[in-house]
Amino acid sequence: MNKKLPLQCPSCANKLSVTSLTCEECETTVTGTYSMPLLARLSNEDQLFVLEFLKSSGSIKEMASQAQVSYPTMRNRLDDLIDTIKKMEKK
Amino acid sequence: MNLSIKLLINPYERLAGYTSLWMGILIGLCSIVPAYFFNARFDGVLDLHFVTHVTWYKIIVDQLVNMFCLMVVFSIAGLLVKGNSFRVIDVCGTVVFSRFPMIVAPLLNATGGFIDLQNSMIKQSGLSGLDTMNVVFLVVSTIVLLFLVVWYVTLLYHAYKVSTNVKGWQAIVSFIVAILTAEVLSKFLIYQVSV
Repeated sequence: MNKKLPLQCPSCANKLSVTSLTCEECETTVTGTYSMPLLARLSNEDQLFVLEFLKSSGSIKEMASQAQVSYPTMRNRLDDLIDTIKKMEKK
Repeated sequence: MNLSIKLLINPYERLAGYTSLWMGILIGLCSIVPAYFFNARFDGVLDLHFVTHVTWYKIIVDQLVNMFCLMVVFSIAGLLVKGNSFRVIDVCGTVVFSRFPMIVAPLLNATGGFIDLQNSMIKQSGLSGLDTMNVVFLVVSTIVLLFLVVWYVTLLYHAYKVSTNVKGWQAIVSFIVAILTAEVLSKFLIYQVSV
């Protein structure tokens, strides 16, 4: 099962931090409070979009063609993501 | 929403840029033919009037001015609201393509019904003197025209929204101002050039 990384506290809706990391080989566990990087705080859909954007060398035209949508639709998707990131940076 | 209905209302999620511009220009040129044969004039971006006689020159000027006004006014509206974060070709292509529902509008006067209606209403001073056939024709053609205009304006709104990424109240207000400006400008230019 592909588990979804929770981004918000289900109780107070604030952003979550990482408190424990485990090595899958030797089962060593590191504990502490680590804030998650900005890209990891994006929704799964937005993270996939960023990956596609990188894989297509930043060509919106190519992404639009692959997704069978128009250029402005894909461009708007990118603009919305930029707005989301700017808002997250301000917080 | 059903995909085919969504495509009829907002095809711009899939179609924009040069493709829609060339298709829009082609549709605009095609609409000249029924307009000529059925005496229809698109004398404004939101106008359709049936007259007793039209010339090729007037109809071509109508179409060119309407396309020009839509492209220029909506591009300026986008630039004012959103800055230069969009491609002008997308605005031009999508707004020109939005006129496609209007291609069939001149067919309503295929039998010369509108001119007959105008004549009988003028002679008999009002709706009361119309016979049943004329009343039915008037009601049906009004519904069809209303449907085509609403469809055209809806397409125009989505064209503007998708190509500029303007959202919320800004999109609604700037669209209303832009369409009214385009209407006034097109009326002015058409009557300067072709009357």
